[in-house]
Amino acid sequence: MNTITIILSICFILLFPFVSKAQQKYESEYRMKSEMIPKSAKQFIDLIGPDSKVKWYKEISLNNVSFEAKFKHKKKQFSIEFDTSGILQDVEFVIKKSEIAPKVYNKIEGKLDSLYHKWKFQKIQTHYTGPKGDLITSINKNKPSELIKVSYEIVLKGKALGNTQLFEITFNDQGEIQDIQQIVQDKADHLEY
Amino acid sequence: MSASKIVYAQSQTRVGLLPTVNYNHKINKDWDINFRFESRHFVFENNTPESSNFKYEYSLSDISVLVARKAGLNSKFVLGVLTRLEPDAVAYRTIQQFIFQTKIKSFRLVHRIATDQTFSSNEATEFRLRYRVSAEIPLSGQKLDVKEFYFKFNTEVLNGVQDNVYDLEFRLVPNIGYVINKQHKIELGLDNRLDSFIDNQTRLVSWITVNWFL
Repeated sequence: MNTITIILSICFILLFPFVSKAQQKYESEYRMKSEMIPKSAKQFIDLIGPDSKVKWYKEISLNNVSFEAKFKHKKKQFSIEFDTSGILQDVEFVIKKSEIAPKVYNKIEGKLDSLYHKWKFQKIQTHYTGPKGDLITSINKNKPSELIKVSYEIVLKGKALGNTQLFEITFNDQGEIQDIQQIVQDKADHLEY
Repeated sequence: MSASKIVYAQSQTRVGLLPTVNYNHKINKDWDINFRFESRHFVFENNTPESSNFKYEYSLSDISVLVARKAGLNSKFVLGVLTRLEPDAVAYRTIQQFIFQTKIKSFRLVHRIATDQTFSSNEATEFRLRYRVSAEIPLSGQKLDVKEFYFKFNTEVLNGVQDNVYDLEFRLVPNIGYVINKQHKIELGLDNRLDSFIDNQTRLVSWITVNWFL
């Protein structure tokens, strides 16, 4: 039986060789020590004065490498992105749908109704971009100043043509769609089988 | 690949090798197929404190094929069969599962509700109803990436009926895993199984496991 087992093991490996899966969007993120982060990025975070400990991550995609600070401030979950030299890219924080102006929200809802037979929010984030000083004021006042460009990044489950997928859709502050991306979900075979 | 088995019953200790290979293939956007192979080889036996020896003994091999159909964004139905090859017997198992995934902050939870039926020529058919939850916690960052370690914890409760006798079993399985590349993961864990609650002869079986996912 020992021999049979060895033969079965070899057959299994020969019959089902390594098969490379279809190319997927490469995106990864790793926890970083704050000592590895550019000083200017840390200084910006200090100016905000987060309510919680700041966790730093390095994010790598096909076209970009960046640092991201994640923390809680004024009961909101913030992510602030910098390039590798510490230059601020954008500020984003998680919000509830009720925090979007009703007129804009109705427009977003109308767009989603036209795109999907069924949809459900997973996460809504507000994006702020603009001058540093205005960003800090806007974060602390919880209201964007005039020089801040606002957009909304929404992750949702959308069903179209009988197929449900996860999407990330960016709307501008008027509720117009700026970008749609399908989110490729990570494999979970090691959790399922 | 190897694993060890330690049985704590009547001072008996058995240690063995347990190679496990798990291959998953996506057929199309809705269907995938999973092949699993494992075999058990005892290499050490300790029946009494005075008697212990290293002795190789083949125990059994399991070969299973599972076919999964996507049910929703994060859920699937699974049907499969398993063949258990023992030195002097062969058993067959039919398997039905419903799997769904949830997420809490940076860790994923996968729930599995399953039933199975085991048939063999020398024992009564065994019917089981089981629920397992598996939690994955990436050890660097908020999602699991290539060349990253992760912690996985499985908890399972199994209800079994065989020959009109009911049994209950609990499994607690902590694992440490590593993502070698997009295709391969390797895990080292401790599979603790506590069973025979009902007949009051509770038995703990602990396995040191190594799993290879490709």
